[in-house]
Amino acid sequence: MTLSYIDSKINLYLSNLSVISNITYLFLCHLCFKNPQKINPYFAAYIGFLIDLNQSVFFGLHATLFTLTILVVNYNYYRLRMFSKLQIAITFSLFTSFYVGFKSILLSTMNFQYLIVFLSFFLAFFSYLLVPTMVRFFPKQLKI
Amino acid sequence: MARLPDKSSRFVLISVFLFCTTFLFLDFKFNTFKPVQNFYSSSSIFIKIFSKDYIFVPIYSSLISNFDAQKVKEENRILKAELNEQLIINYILSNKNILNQNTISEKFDSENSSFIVIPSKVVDFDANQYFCCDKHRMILSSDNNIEVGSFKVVINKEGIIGQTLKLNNNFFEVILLSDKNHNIPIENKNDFYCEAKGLGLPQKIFCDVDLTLWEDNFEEEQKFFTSGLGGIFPSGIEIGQILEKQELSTKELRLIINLNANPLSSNFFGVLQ
Repeated sequence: MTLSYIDSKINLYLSNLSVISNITYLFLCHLCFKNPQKINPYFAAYIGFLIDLNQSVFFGLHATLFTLTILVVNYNYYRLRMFSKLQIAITFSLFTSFYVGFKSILLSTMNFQYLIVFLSFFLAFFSYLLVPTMVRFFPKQLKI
Repeated sequence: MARLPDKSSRFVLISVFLFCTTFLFLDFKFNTFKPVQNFYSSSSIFIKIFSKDYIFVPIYSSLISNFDAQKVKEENRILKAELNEQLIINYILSNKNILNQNTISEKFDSENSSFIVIPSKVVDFDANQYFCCDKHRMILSSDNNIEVGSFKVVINKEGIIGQTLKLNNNFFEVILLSDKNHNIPIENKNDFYCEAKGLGLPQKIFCDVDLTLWEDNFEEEQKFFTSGLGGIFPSGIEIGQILEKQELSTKELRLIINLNANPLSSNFFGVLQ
């Protein structure tokens, strides 16, 4: 929820640049990849529904996309484990592009721009490089 | 079949995903969970206001009193309240000026008729959603806790910004003119009528013109007014100007209209009752 709040604050400044920040989603991808047993679909659905309620968007939008991500990461877990860090960053950036695109289609149907999807890929790539560092600042009590 | 990590169940993964997708479909298609979202929004706003007024402010002021600054704080609070009151009064005066500029002043003469402006303040507004997405909503509360129903016109010092949708007794939602789901009947001085829809972009609405029915005599910066059809918006109020003309086909033209009223210009609004 905190990450989602940070995302919305960052997006206020990025809205003129046709870029969308997705730190929440990248965190979820990273945590799911690092610890697929703990970051299960129930957790993703729960967080997704909370974000949906908090952001007053279609109920189930984030939940669906989060659970889909968990599903894809779990199905390709051993394949992803063979990837280098750069390849992982590119893969999760592609996931983020899909996430941004799907959200944009539903939330701003009339103003859908491919440019946003394209630029969000690059922002996601650079953001993901910071995510593992940021995870270290999480309180150890969370055990994730 | 892909091998899953330990303790992951294929059935759980797929069933939870399908469950969430069903929720999304139901809400997207039928607005099934709209009441749940309304309840959540109004409850969170209530908790925010309650905790601010009855928990944080008393604790904060009691801490301040230890530093012998209670008197100064009290004076500050009174001045803030007076300033708020003054802003509302100025706001009502500026609305009267707007109304007098328009032809509706004869219908809504504030002294002779039952026309009332209810001053309201912003309680919650997601600016991020306003800039990024199609859904342009704002939650207001009336200043004197007067109950405001649905489908009332909301104005600010620059003009009409939208209409109300009742949430509960204390709060009401305002659907802005630029919201994708909002329609407003408008006209220009050449007796052209259309149902303008929100474009989903800040301060923008659009109007599709069938060129087999109407002549293309539209120019940029041509003014548009409310037509009063539909019975919600009063007629003759200037709403905005043509920003751009887009040719959809040889027989269809889209007019992008830039609205006069910016909902971000002030935190104070009025509801025409």
